[in-house]
Amino acid sequence: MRISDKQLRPIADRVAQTPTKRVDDRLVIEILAAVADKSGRSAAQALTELSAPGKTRAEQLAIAQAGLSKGERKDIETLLDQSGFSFDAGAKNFLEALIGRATLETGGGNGPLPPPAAGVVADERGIRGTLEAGMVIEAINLSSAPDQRLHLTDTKEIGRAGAGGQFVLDANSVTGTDAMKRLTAGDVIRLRGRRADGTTTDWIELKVGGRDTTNAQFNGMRLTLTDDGRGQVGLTHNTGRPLTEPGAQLRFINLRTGDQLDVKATADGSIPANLKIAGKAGDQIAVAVSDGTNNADLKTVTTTLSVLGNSGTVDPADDPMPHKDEVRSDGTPMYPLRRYNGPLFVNGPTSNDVRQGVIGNCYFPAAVGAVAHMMPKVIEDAITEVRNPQTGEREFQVRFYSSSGRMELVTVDADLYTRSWGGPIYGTTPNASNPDSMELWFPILEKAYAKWKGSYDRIGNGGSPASVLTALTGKSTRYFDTSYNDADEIFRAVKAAGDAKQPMTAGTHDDKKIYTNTGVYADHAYSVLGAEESGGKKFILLRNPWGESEAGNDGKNDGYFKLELSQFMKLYGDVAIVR
Amino acid sequence: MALPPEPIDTVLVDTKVAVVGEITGVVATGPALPHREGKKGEKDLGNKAPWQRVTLRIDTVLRGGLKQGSTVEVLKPEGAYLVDAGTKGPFLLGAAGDDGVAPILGRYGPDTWRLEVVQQAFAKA
Repeated sequence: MRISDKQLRPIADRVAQTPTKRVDDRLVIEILAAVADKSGRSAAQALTELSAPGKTRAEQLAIAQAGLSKGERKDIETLLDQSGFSFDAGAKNFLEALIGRATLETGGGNGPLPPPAAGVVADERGIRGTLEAGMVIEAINLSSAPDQRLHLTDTKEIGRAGAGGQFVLDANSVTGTDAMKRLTAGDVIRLRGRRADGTTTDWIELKVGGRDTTNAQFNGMRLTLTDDGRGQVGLTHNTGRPLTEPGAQLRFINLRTGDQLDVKATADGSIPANLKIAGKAGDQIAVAVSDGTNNADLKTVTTTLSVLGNSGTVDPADDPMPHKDEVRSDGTPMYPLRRYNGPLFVNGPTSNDVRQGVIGNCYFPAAVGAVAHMMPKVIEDAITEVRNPQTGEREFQVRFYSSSGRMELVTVDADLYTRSWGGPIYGTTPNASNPDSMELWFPILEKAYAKWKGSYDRIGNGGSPASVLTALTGKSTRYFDTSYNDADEIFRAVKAAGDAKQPMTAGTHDDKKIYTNTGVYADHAYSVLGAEESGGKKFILLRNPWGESEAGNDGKNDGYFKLELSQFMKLYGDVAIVR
Repeated sequence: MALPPEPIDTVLVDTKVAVVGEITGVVATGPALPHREGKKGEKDLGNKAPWQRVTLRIDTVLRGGLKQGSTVEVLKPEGAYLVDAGTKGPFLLGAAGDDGVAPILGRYGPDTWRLEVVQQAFAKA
């Protein structure tokens, strides 16, 4: 589609980038203003005139027709016939009337548009107002942000002010992204304009008009409750991301003691510092939230959280720092460390013990699961339980091999970053919510690996399973690429390695489209447990390091599955086998 | 990004509608997102697929007011998966935006949890 007019082109580009490609009455006014600019008015003047209160559709059309050039007529024809845009009936009639294809309809719901307000207003139809000419407008919905992985500065560009500074942005064009998930009555929108030189206006906060039937959100995963050892429970917002809607009313209720604490959320959707409620480790704290309109009596509980024990502070010499997503802006961890007292091994290490946590390190549990399956003794020998000579506390000495084959020892304790909701945030074994019975070997191994490499962040943004196989076994790996090695060659290699108890991993491609509904996931590493032939078919045996989600349905959903060789060759890109 | 599925309890809170259905078409797809290339054999690089607006045929209603046999337009957000015509399974849908289009919830959409997991979670809730 070629639009020659320089005023019309950016409007068409903007529509083309929206999910619905919808052109409604409000947007058509911008088109009319762009066309009207050759009638002795600027586009900004035309927009003001077109948007004036009381202006009829016929008068709006007349303003546009007075400036319509031959080139613009052709552009309008292109928009109508070739753009693929979805025109509302009134908008389409406006444009067809403009180029003489149809008579202007003046009845029904096709009335003149509301003028942009002084300042900025929002309702469920859209956001409109006036800033400085040409400003890029960026916004975030503070009411839906608590459920998104967003900071309050993660705004989304939603449009641009016209030459007169006015803008009329349809709800369809401003929503659909994480930052602007929706435009629902009662939502709080934070918005500002950005100039070409990068400077911005102050933030403007506005409430979406209309009948508010949607309560404020509360994200319980972002609150940590810790026993301070003095009969009080500290409430800590454990992330820079919002906990709830700004100004929301919160009520915390200790379900054991009946104690209550009422708090108003801050302007950033957080809670005041140093909040405490009477209680102790193990107590359940119910949370009720209200936006002032919905659940105003705070009778409905949103979530219930557990109080953790007080395990002191992070000692950088002993404890690797968390992944960057779990570190506050002041550099402190968002989640407290909790001491786990379970056994190091229960019936020896197995691949089923391994569960990936919340960071992008599938390569690590995939490789560890493979070694646990093929060489459990290597895992047992790699972790030695010791006593700290000074404190007498339980510690673990973990052995790794560098890529050059040098043996290195890393000592860690059993303090793991833990959330009030559930168990450790990083790798776990089954029964993770019980600190006294969870089998420790896998989270200890992962903690030691994080400490060896520098932090959970250093190991939590992707990596190679082959490097972990080497770190655990001290042996190099052979690498097979399914693009270059044929299926039978790979089957023979996997079968032979399985029979010889050599650990193996396999990785999928990053092409997400081919994985939908297969039970296999893109950009993911798996433990390879062997190969077998049955019923005249060849299979590769695999395990998902999540400990769930697999191809086929054997009724267990434990991560173990087998794939026919042809399917394996399609879905997997590579295999690494310990030599 | 190959992170494990979210605990279903945390997603049910925001689920307005749950259905078993099938994608019948892709209406629109967002622009490609920045792509990080890893070294040989590296996984879990966190690259995201763009959003998609898709039509979803409702085969069975598990929760909410949609009509069996109807087709609705839904949003597949930016994330770790893509859908296409023929993609099927349990779909949990969040609150619809002003345009009436609801987002598909769950890190992997219909592949996030098996149907029996969804049914058990509803029974427990």
